[in-house]
Amino acid sequence: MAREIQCPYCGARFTVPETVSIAVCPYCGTTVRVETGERLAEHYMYDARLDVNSAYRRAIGVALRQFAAPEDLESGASIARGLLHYVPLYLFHIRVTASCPDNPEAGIEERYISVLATSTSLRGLSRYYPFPTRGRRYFEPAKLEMGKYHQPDVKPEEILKRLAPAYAGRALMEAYNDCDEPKVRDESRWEGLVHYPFWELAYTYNGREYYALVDATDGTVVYLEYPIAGKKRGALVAGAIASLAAGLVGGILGGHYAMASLAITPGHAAWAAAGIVSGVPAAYRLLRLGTAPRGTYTI
Amino acid sequence: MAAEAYRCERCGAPLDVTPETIVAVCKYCGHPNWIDKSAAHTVMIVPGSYGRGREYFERYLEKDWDMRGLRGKIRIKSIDMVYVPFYTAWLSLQSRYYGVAEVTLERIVTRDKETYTETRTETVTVSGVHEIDDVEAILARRAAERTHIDPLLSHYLKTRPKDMPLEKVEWDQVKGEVLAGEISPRDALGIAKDRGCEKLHDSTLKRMESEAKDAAQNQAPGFGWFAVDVSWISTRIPCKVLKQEVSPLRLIPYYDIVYSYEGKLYRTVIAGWDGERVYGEEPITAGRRALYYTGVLAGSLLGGAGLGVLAVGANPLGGLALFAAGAILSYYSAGKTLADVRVETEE
Repeated sequence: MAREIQCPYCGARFTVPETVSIAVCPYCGTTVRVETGERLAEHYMYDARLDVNSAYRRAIGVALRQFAAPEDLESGASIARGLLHYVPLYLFHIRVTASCPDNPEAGIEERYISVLATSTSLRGLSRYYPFPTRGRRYFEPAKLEMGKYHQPDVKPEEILKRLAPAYAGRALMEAYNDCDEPKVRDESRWEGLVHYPFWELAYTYNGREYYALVDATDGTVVYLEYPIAGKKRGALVAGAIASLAAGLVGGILGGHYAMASLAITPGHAAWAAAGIVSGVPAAYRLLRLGTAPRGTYTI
Repeated sequence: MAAEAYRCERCGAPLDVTPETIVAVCKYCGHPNWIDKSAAHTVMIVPGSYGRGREYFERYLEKDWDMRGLRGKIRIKSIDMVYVPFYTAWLSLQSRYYGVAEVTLERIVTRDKETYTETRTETVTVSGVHEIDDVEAILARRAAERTHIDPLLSHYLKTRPKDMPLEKVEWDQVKGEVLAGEISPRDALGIAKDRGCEKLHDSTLKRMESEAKDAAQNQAPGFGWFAVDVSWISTRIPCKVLKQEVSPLRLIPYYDIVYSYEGKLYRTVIAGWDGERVYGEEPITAGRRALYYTGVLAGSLLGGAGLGVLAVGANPLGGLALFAAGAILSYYSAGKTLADVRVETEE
C-alpha cells in the first residue's frame, strides 16, 4: 500500500509506503510528517566521512585484534560487498521531575537520548546508538543517493510513551526520599529525526563470507564477524583441557593437604573429580570460542 | 536550504549550523555567532596547539611502560584535533536525612573456656543534615557518546588549564574543528543535578550507615559489640539544591588519534592543552596474554584444591571459599586472555 502526499514546502506530490510516518520530499528535501502533512523542522544527518575501503580497513583492523582471528587476515581477506545505509534515529530530550511541596525538583531525570526509529534494524545495531561528538550536518537528500535510505516507521510518541514510565519511576524513587506523594511532571520532548550512516560490509576469507557493520561517521566498528584460525582453535581447546587438568591436580593436592598425608588412597579419584569442576568455568569460556563456527565482536 | 541561511556575521563564510545550535564558531575567522542570543555569555576557550598531536603521542609512547616496547611497530593512521564544548556546574547539595535501621552486632565471648560468637540486633534511628559540594562537567552535545569524552572532562577538572574569551584567541594558532554547543545552560544544570543528587544519595547513605553502626554499638547492653551489618527499614534521603551556578560555555581541545600495531587498529585521546593521554586503547601482546592465561591455570588449581579439601570434609567453609575464589579468578582470567584490547582511562 502506498499513500500520496503533497510537500508543504514545494507543493510536489509523491508517494510513500503506508508504513512510513515521516517522509522526505524527493524534490526539495523537506521532511514531512505523513499523518498531518506538516513540515518537520528538525531533521539532520551525519556525514559519511569514511568511504567503503576505509570502513573495510577499520573492520579488518579490529578483526585482527581478536585472539582467534588468523594472522594473515589482512592479506587473505577481500571485500565482497559494501552498502551504505542511512538509518533513522529519533532524538529525545528526557526531562522528568517529581516535585514535593517544598522541593520542586525533589526527583529529576534529565538527559538526551537517541533511539532507533525503525522496527527492523541492521544486524548488530543497538536500539540506543549514541552519536559521536561530531560530524552532524543539515539533512541533504542529495547525499542519500550514495546509500540506502531507511524511512522511520515507528512514531516518536510511541517510543516516548514506552520510555516514559521508566524515567518517571526513577524520578519518583528519588522524590519518595523527600515526601510521600510527589507529583510527576513529564516535559520530555521529541527533538527531531537524525539519519545516521553505517557501512554494511561483507568480506570473504577462505571462500566463506563474513559480515561487518561500521559507523560511517567516526569509523567505530559496531559489529563484526571474523574467521577463527585452525591453529587458534587448537590453542583454545588445549587451553580448556589444561584448565580442567589444573583443577584435577589441585583437587588431589587439596585432598592430600586436608588428609595431612601423602598416602595413595581410594579417595584420590573423588578429589580429582571434584577438582576438575573448578576448571570448568574457564574451560567453557575458551571452548565456546574454540568451537564456534565464527567469531563475533560487538562494541 | 536552511544551511545556506547562516553566514558568519564578521566574515560572511557559511556556518555549520543546525536548528538547535546555540553558538556556532566560524571555522574561518573564529567569530562566535550567537544563534540563541538569550544564552549569550562569552564563550571561553582553552587554547591548544594545533599540530602538536604527533609530538604528544610520541611522548606518551615513550612514557607509558606498556607502550614503550611496541613503539617500533606503531604507525599513526590519523590525527584530528577537535574542540568540544561543555559547561561546568557547581552545586551545593543538602540532604536532611532520616532512617530507621536494623543493625546486626557481633561479639566474641569466652565462657567455660570456650570461645563463641554472640549475635544480636538493635533497631536504631539516625537523622541529620548532610551537605556536599559537587562539580560536574557537562558535555554540551546531545545524546553524544561519552566513553572518550568523560575522561577528558575529568582531566579538565583536575588540571584546570587557563582559558580566555574566544575573541582574544589567535585563531591561526588554534585551528582544529570547533563543535557548536547544543544544549542550554538550563539543561546543563538539570543534567548536573541529576548526577549530583546521585552522588549526594550515595555519600549520605554511607554516612547514615556508619552513624547507624555507632548508634547500635552505643545502644547495645554490655561491651565488645561490633556492628557487622545494617539493613534499612525505611529511609528518607532528599536532595535539595542550596546553590547552583553554571559556567559559560567552554571549549577544550583534544586530539583523536587512530594508530595501527601489526595491522590492528586502536584509538587514543590526548588532551590538547597539556598532551596528557586521557583515553587509550592498547594492544594485548602475546606475553601479556600468556600472563593472563597463567591466571586461568592458577585459579583452576586453587579452586580444585578447595574442592579437594571439601571432598575430604576437613574444612568445608575454607574449601568452599577457596573453590569460589579460584573459579572466579580462572573464569575472569579466561576473559582477559581472550580480550582484544586493553583500555586505560584517566580516573
